[in-house]
Amino acid sequence: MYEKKDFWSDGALHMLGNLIHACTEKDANSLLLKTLLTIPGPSYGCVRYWDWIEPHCVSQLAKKYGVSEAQQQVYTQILVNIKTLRQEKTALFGDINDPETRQLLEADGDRLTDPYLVWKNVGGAEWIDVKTDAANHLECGAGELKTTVSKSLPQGGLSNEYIEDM
Amino acid sequence: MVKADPSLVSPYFDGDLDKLDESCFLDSYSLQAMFMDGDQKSKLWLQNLLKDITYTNDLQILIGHLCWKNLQFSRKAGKVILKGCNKHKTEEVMSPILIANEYLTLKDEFQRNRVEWMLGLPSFEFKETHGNNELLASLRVGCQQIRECKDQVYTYKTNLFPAAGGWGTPDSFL
Repeated sequence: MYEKKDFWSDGALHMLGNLIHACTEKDANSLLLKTLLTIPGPSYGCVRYWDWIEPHCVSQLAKKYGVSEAQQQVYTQILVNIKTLRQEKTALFGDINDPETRQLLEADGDRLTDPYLVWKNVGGAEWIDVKTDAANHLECGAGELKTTVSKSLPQGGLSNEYIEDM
Repeated sequence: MVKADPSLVSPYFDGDLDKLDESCFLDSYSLQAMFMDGDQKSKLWLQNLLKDITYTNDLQILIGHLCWKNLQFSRKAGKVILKGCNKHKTEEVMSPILIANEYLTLKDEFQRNRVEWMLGLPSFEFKETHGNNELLASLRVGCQQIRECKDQVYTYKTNLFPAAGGWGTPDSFL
């Protein structure tokens, strides 16, 4: 969905709309919602997967052209559903740095990962384990790559247009 | 003939087979085909049925019932739903998307499996720059492989298909 969000793709939009609808109407034990609230975001613009959805819908609705009436309805419905979710499951939408919220989100086995920016490779590229199955023409390897990292502090949404010093 | 197991009463069906026969939109052959776990025919049958939006509401109930506490059928239905969601025409994806709502929120011990299959598992994206020679040294990760902050660094790959991540493997929801 994230990959296709900027294309004219009704399928991806309906998929998103229905996923949020499922979280609002049918997700009695909040497992689906908790998954979306914990798994890492698709880009460096967001900490969690959930974080890009609302800003994207708002920005699409703000467009004057290129968004059909039917699409606007879906985006509006997504925002209404998100608002309902925030009201009904307030505890899950707390600050993720707050231990109580974190504990609640991780209660079902999901883990919130700390977001890191991965910068450049600094060498050390080597295979640490390679297994070969000659009979079946298979080779499987695990490699190690040393990279520089820094802590990522996204503000949520898609606010930063470019990353400098790449 | 389909037989009821009184120890397994799903939230979708109270165990009264006569009632099911009365309300079911499927003929006896189709219903029988649906229960043929492991039979290729049942998967094709399900694929064809998902193309049509007419029976979506009934199918939601039926698939909910069949997937409930059934890992094997859940896996089969998951593959069909995910393939259906990867079609290009909007009218073709609507039925699988609506059925996925039920599939993802069906509450039993296998719900997490179904969610993982549909949404995929997050994996760090990387690109090779110089073919396969010195594969590791030519890998580009993180900031090196993106142009803008909004570009994707994580992808969500489903492990529902044998060649996971390979060419032609249906994309997960996310």
